[in-house]
Amino acid sequence: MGALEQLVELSSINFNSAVKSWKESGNRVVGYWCSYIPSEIVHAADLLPYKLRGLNAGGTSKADVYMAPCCNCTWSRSILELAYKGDYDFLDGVVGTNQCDHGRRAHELWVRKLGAPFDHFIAVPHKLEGQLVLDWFRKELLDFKNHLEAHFHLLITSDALLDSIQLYNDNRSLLKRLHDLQKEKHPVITGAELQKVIIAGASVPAQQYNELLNTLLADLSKKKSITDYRARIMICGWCGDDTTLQNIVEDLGAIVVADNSCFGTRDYWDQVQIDEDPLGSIAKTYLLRAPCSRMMDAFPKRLQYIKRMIDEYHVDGIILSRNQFCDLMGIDDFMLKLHTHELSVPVSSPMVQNYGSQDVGRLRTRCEAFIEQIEQ
Amino acid sequence: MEKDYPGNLLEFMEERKMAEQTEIQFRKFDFSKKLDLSMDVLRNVRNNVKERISQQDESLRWIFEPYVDLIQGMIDGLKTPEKLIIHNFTVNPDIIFGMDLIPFSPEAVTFLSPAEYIMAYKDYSFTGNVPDHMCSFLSTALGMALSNVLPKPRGIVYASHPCDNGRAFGQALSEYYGVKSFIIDSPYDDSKRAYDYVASQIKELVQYLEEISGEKLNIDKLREAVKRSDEAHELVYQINNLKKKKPCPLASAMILRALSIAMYNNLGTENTVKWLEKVLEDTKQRADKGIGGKYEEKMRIAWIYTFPTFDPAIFQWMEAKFGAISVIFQGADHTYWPLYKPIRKPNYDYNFDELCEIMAERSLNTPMARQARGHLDFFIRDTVHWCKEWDIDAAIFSGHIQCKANWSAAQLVKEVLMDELDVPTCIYEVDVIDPRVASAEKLVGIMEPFLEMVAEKKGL
Repeated sequence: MGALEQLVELSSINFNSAVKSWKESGNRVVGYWCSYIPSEIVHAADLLPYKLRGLNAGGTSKADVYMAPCCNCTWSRSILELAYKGDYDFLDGVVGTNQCDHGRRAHELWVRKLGAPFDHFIAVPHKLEGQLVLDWFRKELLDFKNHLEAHFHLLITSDALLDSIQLYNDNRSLLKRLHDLQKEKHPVITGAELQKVIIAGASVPAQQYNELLNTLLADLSKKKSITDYRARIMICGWCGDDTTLQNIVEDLGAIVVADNSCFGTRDYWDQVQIDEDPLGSIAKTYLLRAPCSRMMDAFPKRLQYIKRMIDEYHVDGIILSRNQFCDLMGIDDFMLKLHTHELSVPVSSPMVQNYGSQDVGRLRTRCEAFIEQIEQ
Repeated sequence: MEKDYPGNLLEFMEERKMAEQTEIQFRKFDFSKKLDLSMDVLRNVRNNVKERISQQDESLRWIFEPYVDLIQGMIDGLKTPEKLIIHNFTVNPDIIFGMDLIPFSPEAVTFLSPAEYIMAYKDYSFTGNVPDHMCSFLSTALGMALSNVLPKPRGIVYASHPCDNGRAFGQALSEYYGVKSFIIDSPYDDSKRAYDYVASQIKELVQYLEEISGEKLNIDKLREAVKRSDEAHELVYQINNLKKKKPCPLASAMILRALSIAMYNNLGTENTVKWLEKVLEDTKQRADKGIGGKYEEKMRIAWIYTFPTFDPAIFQWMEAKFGAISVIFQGADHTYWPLYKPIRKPNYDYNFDELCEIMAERSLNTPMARQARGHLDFFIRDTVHWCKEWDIDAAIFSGHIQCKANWSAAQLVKEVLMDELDVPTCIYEVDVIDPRVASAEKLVGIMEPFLEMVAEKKGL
């Protein structure tokens, strides 16, 4: 099986072969909700950081007892559903954060109703600017580190942190190299495939993942390129771990070359810049990296990021996408629409999805219309 | 105490007989009316408020003073638009008063507006790409902004609590008006470190306000505003304690709503303190005489989240049919000082740092915002406290459908109230300012069997 096939397979199962193998070797896994939680700290504790997914939840009937279908997003409900079903029993701990109201409440409900062997909550600031904010976040990460040490009876040394930072920086470099292939006029990997590669990384041990990425890059150098496509699309928004929208867009003959998403470029765009304080370095980078719409003072930075993506990846059009009930991405769509005159490409109306839904017909029709608009 | 207002509630009650149940008339709305969304929204709101007040008995009109004060304050503020600072309800206006600037709350304009206008502005906001699952209070305000009927502010100050909706709204205003905002990042927990964090940001806020307005902080004005806010809280604390008596000496849910408006938006003002003194005086007199509201109290209700504001007849129906008296309303300051009362220096000679600490404490414990911003336990423990201390018979979770953080606490709170206090909870979906989602008649239809069950449980 080639590297791409392996990664696609790893992305499609929650308790995949990599996690299974890790556990069978006597190692431990800590789940986390959001990419603002630094994997480096978990890794430095010899734990596998596992970004929670809602894949294969098959509905949300149990989660809906406590979360509200009238206003809570299906992605967070799907994750909670999997926890209820026991699919996440392999986790040795779970780390929550205030990424959004849906996610934080789902985490709280999980811990309260089901319990967790290890549970920690990191309060990530909602703004970027100021030393106060950075100091707050660094202290949050220090408390997290201390809690991991106390619970798992280990020590996270500065050297271990530095090694982890280096490993994850290598990971980011490799993903960027992979993504840079999308800059080409004739890419060698589809957006859906790339997305699956990224999703796989959320659950595979970093060393193993880097090896797979290296192999993949070598394989792709020999792969036949995609020459015939209708438009080059950037997807903005969307926090889910699926490729529904990419599949639809690419089935229609376009190609997804860029994104501004949670399981996407935001996660790996910025390297951790190391100074004499590894924890401080992590705090600074995670806080100031390509920002999510939860960051209240960062829209100008997000807009710049999108403009840069349009230029570097020769984007023909932007599809706005979000989960139903996501206010943060919803208002990002509103703000982006205020600035469409500054963007050199058309921007779709928001494509609102329900994670895990089979409602692809509606999305397909709208994507088709948008691609036709670009072609005109 | 000098009575400098016409009539008083106690006299009104003594002069009337206990009302027999009469047919309750729910409000009728005309959704087809075509409205001019470009008209002067603040004066429209003021006229609406005054009209509503004029329909009340003269003895009851003083209850609505906070409504009038709030809207008049905003209208007066328009005379000096260069001093207008938009803020959300979790940012104390004290600091804005201390800078000799004028606080302006778009959310307040929303909840004082006539329902038809709320619906129209809300719908208009969706045409401008505002998400339809955004809190109606905020999408309506954005609709007003998009219609260019709100003033462009000098500055925008937003706290990140209570919720995603608020976080989204602050960003949207800043982008729409092209005005740089100041964000107060709110922590998740209740530690000293959390309060110090917010206090430090409030200090930084002063720099922002000085920079954008050219005004300097007047420490005496700030101290005066903070002191008045503390006085207001002390008065509410005393009113709340009196409400423990049976029957509840607070006349009706109208006062709870007015309390909410006063404490959310009018803190720091002399008028709020004076009005609360009137409320306390009336409540004390009624409590001393063992008198309740217009209807005999048969059961005590806690609104543990919010309640529908588009038709006060809902409460009248509850009181008339079941003697179900609204005692607790989460948004009527049943949060600040929930379990403790801070000791304040009698001479109130707090320095700037200390004043920021007081404001931080108050901001993080703003009613409803406190329960939404932190762990589920805040909601659960606070609700249990209210229901226990105020001897509540039944709770109602009037679930505003766009409120993600509170909705995901509803079922858990319901279970805890039953397990620990044997208090049942009615949960329903509503938009508290938009009757199209669930009408008054529908809500009554949902609550009726619930209240019948409570009555039967009490042997009524």
